[in-house]
Amino acid sequence: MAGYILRRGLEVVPTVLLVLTLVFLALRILPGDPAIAALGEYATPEAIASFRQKLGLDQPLWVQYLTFVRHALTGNFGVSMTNGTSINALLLQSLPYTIELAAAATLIGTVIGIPLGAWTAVRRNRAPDVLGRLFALAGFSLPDFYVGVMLLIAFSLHLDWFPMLGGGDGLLDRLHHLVLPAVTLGLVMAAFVMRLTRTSLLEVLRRDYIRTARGKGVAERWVIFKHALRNALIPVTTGLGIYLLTTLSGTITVELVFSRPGLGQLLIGGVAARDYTMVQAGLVVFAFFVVLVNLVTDLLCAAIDPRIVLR
Amino acid sequence: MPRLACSVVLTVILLLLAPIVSAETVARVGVAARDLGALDPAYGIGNGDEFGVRQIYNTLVSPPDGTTRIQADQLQGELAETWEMSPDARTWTFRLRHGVQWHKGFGEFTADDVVFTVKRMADPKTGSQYSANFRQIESMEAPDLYTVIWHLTQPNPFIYAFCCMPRFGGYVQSHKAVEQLGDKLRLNPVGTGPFEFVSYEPKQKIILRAFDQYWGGKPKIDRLEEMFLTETAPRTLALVKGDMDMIEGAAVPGWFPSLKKQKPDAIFDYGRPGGTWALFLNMTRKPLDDLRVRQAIAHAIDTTAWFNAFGDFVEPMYGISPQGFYGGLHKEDVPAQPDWPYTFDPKRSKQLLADAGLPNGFSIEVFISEREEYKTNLLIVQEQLRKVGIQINMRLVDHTSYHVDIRRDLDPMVVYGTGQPPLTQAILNAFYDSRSIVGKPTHNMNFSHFGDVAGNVDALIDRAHQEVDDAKRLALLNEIQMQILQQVPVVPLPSPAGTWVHNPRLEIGFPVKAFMGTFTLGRASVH
Repeated sequence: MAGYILRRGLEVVPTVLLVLTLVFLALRILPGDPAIAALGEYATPEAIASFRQKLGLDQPLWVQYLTFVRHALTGNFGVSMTNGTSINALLLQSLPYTIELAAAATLIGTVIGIPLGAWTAVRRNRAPDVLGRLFALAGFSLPDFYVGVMLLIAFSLHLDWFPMLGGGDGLLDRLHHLVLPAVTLGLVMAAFVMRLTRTSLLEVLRRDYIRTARGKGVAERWVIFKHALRNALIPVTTGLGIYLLTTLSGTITVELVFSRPGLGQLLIGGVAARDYTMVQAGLVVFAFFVVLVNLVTDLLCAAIDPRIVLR
Repeated sequence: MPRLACSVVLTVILLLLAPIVSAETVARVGVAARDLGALDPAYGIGNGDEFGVRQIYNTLVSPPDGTTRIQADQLQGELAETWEMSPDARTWTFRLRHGVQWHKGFGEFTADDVVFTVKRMADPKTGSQYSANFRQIESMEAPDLYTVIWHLTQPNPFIYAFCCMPRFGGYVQSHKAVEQLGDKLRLNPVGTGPFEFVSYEPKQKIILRAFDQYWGGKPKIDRLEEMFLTETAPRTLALVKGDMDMIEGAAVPGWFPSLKKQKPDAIFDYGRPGGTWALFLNMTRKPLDDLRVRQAIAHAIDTTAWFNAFGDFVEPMYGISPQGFYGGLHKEDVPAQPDWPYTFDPKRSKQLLADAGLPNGFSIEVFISEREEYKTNLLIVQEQLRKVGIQINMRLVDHTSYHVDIRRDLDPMVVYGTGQPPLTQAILNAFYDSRSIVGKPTHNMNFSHFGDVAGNVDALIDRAHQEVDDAKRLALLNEIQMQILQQVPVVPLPSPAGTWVHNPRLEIGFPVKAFMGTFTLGRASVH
């Protein structure tokens, strides 16, 4: 296992380098000038030149690239071009909010999605199944920002159960602030997990060994939970891994709707302001998460199904 | 177990006492900004910066609170108690307030701080976008601690509008603090204003607290939080719920009636004169190089569409600057004849197009910023021009790219909105002086190329700037505007008010009739 993790870790290096290069080039190709974005529409040519010199934007592209890669590999992302704040500090401050949001959404998505998927599969074409499919359809059709605003109106504005804005301070306050954003993302994820679980379980329930188990008189509940669901969860776990990445992107919208701190806020603000250093750092962190989630998904699949050998 | 019980009891007691212990008054303000750029007045450019800067710093003079009255005898003193212009408008003397303290123990404000500020702002190395304004000051004297004398390169009866008023970099900075803090000043401001800076949470908020030694008296609000809420929906809901005491308005059709319905007791603070919005026609591009085509465009625009979309948020424009600007034209100033190019007359518009050899109209590709106010304005223009056969193919670009593209002279039509000191002279400088034509080294925002094409008013603009006599200056400004308007380099669009909305629990402390971007909450209270 340790050897596998190490090898996968090494495989990450070229992937990350490729991501760094693409991110660097993509930002330079984008129209717009960070100097004008930072200094304003009336900025004088001297001010623009001085800004560019200060941030090394007057250097040849390859020099800028090497500086960026060196900084990224040493974990020092420099300062924001917009207001000079340390990007490492910003990341450290924002990341926990994004991670807790993604984790809570995944928890909600899994806790709701898997049982609901199993239930609808077992009661195929009956009322629970129809209702479950309707829920999934709604989950897929409604965009995150719409669900978020609706939840805000219902549970914050009218019922006043949850705060409307920000990320909260202190453990309890943070949890309180986390509920609505996590439910927003979690409901959409639950719809996905529910569909995946249902399909996968239906597929497994048609297998011979399930028929054999039933023929041997094994209790139906035991057949479902011991024999069928466990196997059905392998594609669900892989799907969850992939969907977690979508959820990470979804945090961007949700952070904006709930005015929560997080990586999404950093990225969106960075793109709007052409804050190269900020966007570069944010995307590198996102790329790192993609790699990490893929690795964890593989390990989880192996843990669920001993037949899978990690090579 | 007894220890756990004690902890629980103690926690409950503390929670019950919390409201009593923290009896400070807090006001929360939501600005339509993603984040802070800088709280150093040399670099603060966005609305997110300006609100904080206005609370932390002072200028020498400003229009009376809640107004944009800009003539020298109408101003209110902030750090200056009196101000005086020499008869030739080349020398200005400011006598400063005594005993004003800088925040965070940086000592007393003196004339040295004013001299330092002007030098810093004018210095190209500082890199402030407002530097050109300060270069009109040729030399300065500080004969004593409380007097500053400015000698100008040329007469300017409105120099204060460019160098010592809110919004355009006119805030006085502490010599000692700038030298001591350097770049750190951007996020650690030191001012003399009613609120001093406490902390900044990136992308979230800044926290300010009442400055005990404020020369105008300690503010009644103990703690002021400025929150960055760029999305309109959550910002609006936060006001409706009461989480925000004041928010920045949104220039979105239907927003005002919807908010009035959701929150009937909300108080709308309209700032008029507001921004200057216009459709600039690039007269170097075909077919816009033909006066008849430009006239056809102007005749096709029906400004009532803006009033239908925005209600009383907008007001009509008759000249190149809003009516409330110094020198702004009013309805009675413009000719009443039907062939005045800015009279809505689609029939005449089609006739002019036919005369110009375009009986079927034409198509034109126009880049536009994705930002709501830009997009909405162009959409309304697009719909109206379509009716006379002019097809605008809109290409959406992000806001930063748009600013770069229009300065590269890429667009044949430019929709542009800007905040300027409420002086027609400022608008003339930026948009109609030939030295401001985009692409020139001295460029500013002359997108139409007026001055090189279809006439030139540079000399008249210079005269208007230097004219000491008010009546003569106004007559000059009128003449310049009529010369420009007749050539139709621009179709002025209705001027939107700057808007803030506040909950009744917040009292601003003065009637808000007008403002430049934002206003001070130094006299505000929360009930």
